Amino acid sequence: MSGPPIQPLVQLRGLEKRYGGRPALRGIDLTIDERQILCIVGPDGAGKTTLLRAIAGLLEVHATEARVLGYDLTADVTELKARIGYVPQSFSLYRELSVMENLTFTARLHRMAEAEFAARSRELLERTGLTAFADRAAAALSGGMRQKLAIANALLARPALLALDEPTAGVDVVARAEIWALLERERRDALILWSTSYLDEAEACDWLIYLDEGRVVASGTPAALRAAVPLELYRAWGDDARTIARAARALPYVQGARAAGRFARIEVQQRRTPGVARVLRDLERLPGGTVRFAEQAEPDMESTLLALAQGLAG
Amino acid sequence: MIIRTRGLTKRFGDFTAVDHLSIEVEPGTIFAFLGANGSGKSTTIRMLIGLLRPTEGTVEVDGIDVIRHPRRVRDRIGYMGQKVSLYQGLSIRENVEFYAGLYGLAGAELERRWGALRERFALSQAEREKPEDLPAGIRQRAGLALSTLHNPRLLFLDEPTAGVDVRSRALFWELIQDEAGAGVTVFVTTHFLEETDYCDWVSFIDAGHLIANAAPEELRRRYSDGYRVDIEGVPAERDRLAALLPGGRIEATPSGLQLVLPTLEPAALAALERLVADHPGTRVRIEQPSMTDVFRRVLAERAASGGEP
Amino acid sequence: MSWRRLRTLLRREMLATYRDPFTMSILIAVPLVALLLFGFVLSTKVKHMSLGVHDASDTPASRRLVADLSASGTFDPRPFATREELEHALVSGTVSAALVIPPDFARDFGRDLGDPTPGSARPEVQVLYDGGEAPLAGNAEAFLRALITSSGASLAERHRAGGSNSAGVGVVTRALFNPTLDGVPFMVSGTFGFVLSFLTTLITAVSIVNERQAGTFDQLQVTPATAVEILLGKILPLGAVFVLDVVIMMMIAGVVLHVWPHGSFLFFVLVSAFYVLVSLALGLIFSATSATAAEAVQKTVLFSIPLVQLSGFAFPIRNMPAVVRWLTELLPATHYIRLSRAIYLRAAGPIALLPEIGFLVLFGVILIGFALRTIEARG
Repeated sequence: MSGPPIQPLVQLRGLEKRYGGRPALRGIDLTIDERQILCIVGPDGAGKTTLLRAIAGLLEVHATEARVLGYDLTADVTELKARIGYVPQSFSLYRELSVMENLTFTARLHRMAEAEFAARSRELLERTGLTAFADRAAAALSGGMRQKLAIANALLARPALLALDEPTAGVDVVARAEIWALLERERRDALILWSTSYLDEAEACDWLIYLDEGRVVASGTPAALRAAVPLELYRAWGDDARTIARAARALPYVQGARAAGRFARIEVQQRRTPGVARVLRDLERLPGGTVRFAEQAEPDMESTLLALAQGLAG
Repeated sequence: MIIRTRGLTKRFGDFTAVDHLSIEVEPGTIFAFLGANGSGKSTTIRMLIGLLRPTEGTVEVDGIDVIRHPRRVRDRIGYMGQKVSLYQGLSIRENVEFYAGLYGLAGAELERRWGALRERFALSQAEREKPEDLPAGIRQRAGLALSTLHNPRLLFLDEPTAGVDVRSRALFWELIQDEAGAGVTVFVTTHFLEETDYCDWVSFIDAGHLIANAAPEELRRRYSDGYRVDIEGVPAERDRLAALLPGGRIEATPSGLQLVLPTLEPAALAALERLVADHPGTRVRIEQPSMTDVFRRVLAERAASGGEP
Repeated sequence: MSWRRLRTLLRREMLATYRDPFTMSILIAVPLVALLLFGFVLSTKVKHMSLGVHDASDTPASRRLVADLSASGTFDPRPFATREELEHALVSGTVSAALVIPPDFARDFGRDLGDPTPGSARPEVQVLYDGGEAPLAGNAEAFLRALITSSGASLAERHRAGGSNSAGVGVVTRALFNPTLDGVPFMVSGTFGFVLSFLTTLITAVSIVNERQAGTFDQLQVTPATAVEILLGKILPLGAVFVLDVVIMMMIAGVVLHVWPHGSFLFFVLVSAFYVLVSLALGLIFSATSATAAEAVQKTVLFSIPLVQLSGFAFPIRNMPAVVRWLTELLPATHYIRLSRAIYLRAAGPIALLPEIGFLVLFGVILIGFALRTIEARG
């Protein structure tokens, strides 16, 4: 049941988790005050899954302070789990059971009343577009539909916090958009935490956390992170973008350049830039490449994440 | 055409993974094979390189009938599977020596070749490490380097950027584009739509069927609202511009003009270049439609028409 | 086939295997443990078997018989005053076998065979043993019978010398090639078969499956390496380790268990080496049909259990029903165990064992052929 949020929703200070000798989370500090869509990004092995599982109450952790929805993560989390919906990376519902059977199973686990279950399941099936497939076995659904089922299942008991681990990984484009729409609607009633490797999803969320090697490297709204990124982004438009990109890489201050459609995308680190004017001039005069004209572009999510990743590599 | 398939089909019992796929790949291009998990991408790539026998159809790679003579393509193709195939317990260097040995590459030749690759793929520090001790991005880079070690004419890469950090992804595409520039044909599968912009041709596969098969530019032309060009400057040029840019729309904006063009032809770019040259201080900004939006529309139209677009 | 490619494959396999401490320790430790376990602890050797004796006769002749039995060291006679106590001890398991000497034992001995007294017969004793312990019982019974008969014969001799005409000649069965019916050499020579069948198959089954899962097998198939090269690259290094195992096991068996092969050391190693290759190939076939290492292990274990039962390793094939006996002929392990026992126990040479060797070669060719097919298989 969701009601007025318990302030703060998530309060983590110095959260740590080790698997044997290997540290997966090395001191996470995170405070979330309001309901929103919060996205966790970072390379494989950064600790995204571990962090989500920890917040969902599935892991034993050590922390200076670790509270989710007011419950202490290091204590008994039974009550907390009843208020959390968790969707893991790989499909974890029963493949032999039908959509409806899976939902019923979950409802029974949460001891939902019949009437409430009937209404809620009908609503969720409609919103996920699965009404027609209610009796189909989960194994017979497409990847995207299975994910939607998993989400519907997690939403069934009206959780106050929804944690999803790469719910759109490998899912087709349309289903991805549908899942996003699904989650956007839930934003009013629950705090949504999810991890993704899709740049457009990272761009669209309310708050972004970049995780690497078990630490929060950056945290902020996508716009704020973009603005703060120490990278300049340029576009050099021309007839042969690939040749342009190759030539651009020869410039001493260019970090990376590759052709993207009709332009070459060029990244320059702020600390090495000779200034916008000079860069534009150099680009337009690139040897070999037929650059028609060059412009500076706003850093996008890709360059933002690139800069963040770079920051660690030094 | 360096790769050609006709009616390529693969069935596993009742399940049809790939359904009468017919594609052609021009040499020296980057061919993106796109689709969600389970759409048939990996199955297709495995049939192209002779790892899997098709149920029906033909596959021709570099003039060789892959179904009848799967072994003949082996020394001219490089492959990188979804799981990077580096042997654990062996250092990167030892892995290099292993694969080199299988391709008959040794001695000074190997040193030269690996030296260059090591440099380009930024693997000098990782050379002595074992794959299990390296992060995913560096592992994938090593995998890619290995697949090019023997100078193959064709590269088959199965989701090379999955699970890899942004920096490595960017580096990857630079490397792939360089390979193509050098004449290597690259066949790539991916589910990241924005990566299609790095490629010359895109095939989009859904449930074993091909639902789009064209250059990114062509797909943009058909399935997007077009390029938006904002010119801050000289409205008097409007008619002249209109003459130079057929097929587009011109609108006046508070700060100048906005053009909407279905594609960005060289002529259009040249015209814009002249405009800027003639009128210094004019600012031009171009927005290219994103391939993510393009594919959303492809699928939406397909769903709306209930079948093939 | 390219020698360079083969060398490359061999080198990699060796590097990977020898660097893996877990695999290496299994490859060395398991055969040795099996050998010592089966040889020492589980051997069906008959020694110091407790024998309950109820001597109702209590005459020099009967005492002489009991003394003869304990002198061999095989039995430890324990006296029981009454028949009931003796039977009770047998039932409760305190004694493994029981000997009842009737009151008229000596008198029967002294009787002349030409004696027309009706009802006269050769002296009889009654032997009771625990038939449930089949191997033990078989040995024990035969042994007792032999000892008693020989003892009886020598006693009869003395009587004859004393002037009587007793015929007391019994047929002495003496076990050839294992006069003490010692089970250790039997078990040791069988252990080779067990270890070289089970462990070898397991190692390759897991090895290839792991490569498939890691993706390196696909990669291998895309390189110019041929199926033959890949096969040899896998089984030769592993085969070398197992042959080393065989030599070590032979040494340990000789030094610790005092069991040396009666036949040619070299011949045994060669035969074992070939069998190892055959078993490794079988493992490759298992791996082709398994998606995970766990599955491969399951298949190997499920296959190996009947293998152990049926190959003659522990249970004699001649005791099995005809249908099953035919089945055992299809197992390479059966033929190898025959070969190893023949060489170890009977010093048989290549000529005498040609049929068995022929079988092994045939199986080898078939299995390796299949293994090659599975490596080349393209779904």
